[in-house]
Amino acid sequence: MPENFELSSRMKKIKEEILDSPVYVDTERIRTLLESYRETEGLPPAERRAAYLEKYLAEKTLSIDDNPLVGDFGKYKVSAMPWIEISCRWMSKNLEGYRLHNTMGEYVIDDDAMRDIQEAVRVWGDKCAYSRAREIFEDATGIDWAALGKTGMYIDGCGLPLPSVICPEPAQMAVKGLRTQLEKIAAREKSLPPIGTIETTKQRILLKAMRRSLQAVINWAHRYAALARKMAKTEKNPARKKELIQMAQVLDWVPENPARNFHEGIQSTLLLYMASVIEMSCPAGLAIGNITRPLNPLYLQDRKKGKITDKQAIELIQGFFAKIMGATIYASNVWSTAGQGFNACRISMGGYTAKGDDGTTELDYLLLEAQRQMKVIEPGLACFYTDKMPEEFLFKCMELIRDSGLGQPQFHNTDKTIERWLYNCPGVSLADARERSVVGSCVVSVLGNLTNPPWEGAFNVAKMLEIALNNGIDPYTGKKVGLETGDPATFTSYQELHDAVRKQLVYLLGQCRFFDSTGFALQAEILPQTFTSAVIDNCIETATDLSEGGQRFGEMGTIIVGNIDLANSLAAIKKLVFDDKVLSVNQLKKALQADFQGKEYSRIQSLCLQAPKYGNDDPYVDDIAREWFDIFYEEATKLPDCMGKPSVPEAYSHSLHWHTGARTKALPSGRKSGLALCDGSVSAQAGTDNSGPTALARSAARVLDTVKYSSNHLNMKFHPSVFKDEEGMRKVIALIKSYFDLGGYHVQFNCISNETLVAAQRNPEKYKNLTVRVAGFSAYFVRLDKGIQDEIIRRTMLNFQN
Amino acid sequence: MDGMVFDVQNFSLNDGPGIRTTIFFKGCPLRCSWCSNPESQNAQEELLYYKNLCLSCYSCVEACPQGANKIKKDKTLFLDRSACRVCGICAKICPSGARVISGKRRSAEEIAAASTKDSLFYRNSGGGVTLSGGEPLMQAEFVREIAAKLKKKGLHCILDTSGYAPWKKLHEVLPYIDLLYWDIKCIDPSKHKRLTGVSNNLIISNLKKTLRLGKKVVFRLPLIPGTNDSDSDIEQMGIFLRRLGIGHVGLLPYHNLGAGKYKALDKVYFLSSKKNYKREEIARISKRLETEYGLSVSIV
Repeated sequence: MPENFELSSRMKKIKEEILDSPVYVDTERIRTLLESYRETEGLPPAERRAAYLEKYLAEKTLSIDDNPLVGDFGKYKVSAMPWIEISCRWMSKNLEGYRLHNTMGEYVIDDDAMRDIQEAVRVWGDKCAYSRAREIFEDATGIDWAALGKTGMYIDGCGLPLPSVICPEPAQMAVKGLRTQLEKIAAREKSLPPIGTIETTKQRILLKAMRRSLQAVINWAHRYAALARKMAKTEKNPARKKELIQMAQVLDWVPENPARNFHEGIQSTLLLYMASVIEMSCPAGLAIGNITRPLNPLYLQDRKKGKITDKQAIELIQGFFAKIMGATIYASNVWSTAGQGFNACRISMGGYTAKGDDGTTELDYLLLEAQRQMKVIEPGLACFYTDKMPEEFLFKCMELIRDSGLGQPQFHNTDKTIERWLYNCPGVSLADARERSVVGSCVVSVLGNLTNPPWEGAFNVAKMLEIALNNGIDPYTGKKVGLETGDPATFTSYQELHDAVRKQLVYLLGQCRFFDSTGFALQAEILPQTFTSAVIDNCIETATDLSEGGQRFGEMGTIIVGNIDLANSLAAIKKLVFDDKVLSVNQLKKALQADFQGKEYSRIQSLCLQAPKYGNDDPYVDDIAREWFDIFYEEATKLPDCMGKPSVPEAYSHSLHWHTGARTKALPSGRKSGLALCDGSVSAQAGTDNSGPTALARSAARVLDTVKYSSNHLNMKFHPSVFKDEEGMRKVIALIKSYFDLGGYHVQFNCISNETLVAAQRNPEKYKNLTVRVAGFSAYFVRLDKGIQDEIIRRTMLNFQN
Repeated sequence: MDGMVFDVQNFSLNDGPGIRTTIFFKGCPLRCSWCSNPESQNAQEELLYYKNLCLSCYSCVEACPQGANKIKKDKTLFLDRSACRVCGICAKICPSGARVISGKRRSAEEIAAASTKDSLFYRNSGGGVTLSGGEPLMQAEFVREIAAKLKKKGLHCILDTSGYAPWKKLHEVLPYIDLLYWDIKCIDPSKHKRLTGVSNNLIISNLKKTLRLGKKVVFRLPLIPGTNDSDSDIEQMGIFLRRLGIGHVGLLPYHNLGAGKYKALDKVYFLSSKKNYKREEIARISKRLETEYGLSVSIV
């Protein structure tokens, strides 16, 4: 294990400069794109995309800063790039004074950029994939998509670039070198029969476009090499001069050729990753995968030869992190709240080797230490837990949770992921399932670059209950969007209500998926990914672009949001209206309409809150949650994705529960109007999991089948002192293992901060389950005396959980 | 059979090895002034009323069948405990959780079943179940039935006790207990009586008998500033433990977290002005026990 040390002053400065920098909207790409598209008018899409990428990488403003690595997304320290080809109408709204932001801050748009966007919207406004999808959908159904969207039932995915949850495995490519791909393409071109069918012609066009795109990326690196040499010439500081010359030598060689040492390896990985991001101008969800396993042999070899110290390797890793931080998403107002402008860029660690041995490498420890010092949200670290993992590594993970306050690393159950691939992708090899299981973004597992994007839109199932309770009308917008499933006051059994909700779900999920798949189909038609396809397994072999399903396996799936809210609400209705008969549907509806305001309605809210709640290992409500996860799975898989393949749904919330929650009125679960829905997919409603963390873990593992869904998302909160010694850490590790043994797939631990404790003091009703844990003592934080609460806030000494 | 329990807390990290479920039994023969769980002392159900959480919505005033909740002139609420029959209606309807009933009669089956749910967590962490309180031995038969059930299920079971119970009762429970956590408050019998309300003669004789049976015991010493931490207290403790051939003691430094519960029970907390220990003070006592009496010391 590497020694712990402080962040170097060089990296500290680099990090601070990035954090201090505004998020500049960079429109250089738009200008190149518009110009290139004028030049390539009438050519097939693959050629147009390759030509644009070539032009952009050849003309793009380059700079080399103090970072030991090069490879910027845009021309600024922190850039965001509008993806006008996909969806751009909203961007003109942005110019009208919406204040939009991402995790790195509020966007700054200068006058030039504003003109560029206006011009782009003028040209692309009606042509972008999103606008055309609306047109096609509305033409076919007569339904106004905007009206559906405003209800908060669905957050469409096709406004984001299609390959947004894909993992090109850049580190694997770095050790192979792009030349291998060029040779592969040349061989594939030769193997095409000398005939001129539509298919072979299309294939020839695509293969050539791939070749051009790969060469464009190689040339981009050479431009950086030339710049480094030029800077070296005038550099006075001999150490820096040496560094610049070394940089130039690295960039002469990679990414074209196989990396020969760790520096080349990580530099090449960064450029390859950034090239994929640049191609679609969007870093959201583009996963880095596992970089340590391919690069570890290079690091070990350098270390053995005495060419690199841990400190130097960590600084290179931090340089890599810093560049990732500078690539941010240009999010619409929907995505600013729904995604919090977050890229969900993850690096995977641990896991298995192809033979099923422990896959943890020496470099994984360095990643953790690099992050312990840097403490950045993006990229995030994800640990693929296996029972074979060394204790030492897990302790190092605990240390990062304790010291970073970032909830990193998140933990994934590798065994479940393997089961999933074997179940979902017939023909996948056991070796691939073991070795290439990584996290796509957030908590979605992907099979390295063998799978395509699983992301589609996000569907709010709690909304289905709202609409069923109002006989087809959405109470948030007041518009009729659903089916007339009957006045619920006339329902005589729980089953009738259940059936009505299911009918709404089938109907509305169908509409939403119709729209979204159309959008993705249009993206596939006009936006082939000629570079990323060339580095993804099997696209060259099949001479098919990844947007058309060129990769080996894959499916796209809808994300389910709000299922715990739905289950808690249905359980409350079942209990209060049909089992105990203490409430009528109309009474409940009135209370919901009044948002539980007023004496009588707040009494009804108390009843609702006291009904069985998910997260306490109570089968009454957990069975309902499980049933609806199953129903959603069944209904969602009936609908094909844009490639005609069955879609497999996902269950994680990202920040989608904020956006959907803001558009969901009061629910029978006792939740008030406008509040966020439950976070994660299996986290409990705030303040209602009062049976301790193991009960929550048992509920969570039971309600969602993580083999079928491939993602689930559980957040747990502890006070940092739980991690104070090895004994405490060992217990958290045992908790992770037990949750995974029960079938959980993902868990993340957030440390309770003093801010949370202060908030709990102010709003005790929201923090009822914050428990104080001292030997032989049992109490809830909110029930402690104010003075004692203050003391705890002053000196953090206790174990907490909620 | 049934017994009175006031909490079942899973994922307990400080009540023995591994991840544990702690069962808190209600009722205690001792009345230690520093007790942090005052609701554990009385063997009956009790109503705790946390005034700091009260929203003054007066729902409880209407709801109380005894009229025990009264509105004072200054519009604040007053709980008339002489009228209250601890029926729990007000706790059920209280929207802010300011009213809580502590204690519930539960069957041994129910407690054993609740303790078994986390078996996998125990297996992976070397954990189990801790029977705590209150004084579990106040309900020795109930405890024995639960412990026997847990033993049958193969779960590791700790009895966390003051040791104050007729030997016969303790003896009957012991076969089902893997490990005892034994609190010794002080060695001087008359001082013990003054601090806890009972003499420690029975406690010490029980302890000796238990050790003679070869049972594993972990000693814990609650340290209360200015109460049982004088030089002579520590000296007597050190000599006592050494004589019994005990090598380890866990120190439980005083904390005032229970103060709010006293208020909620309308009980007086005599230690309200007591300050928590400073780190150095605990370190000094710990060092003394280590160097002068050869004990290994941990701070819980």
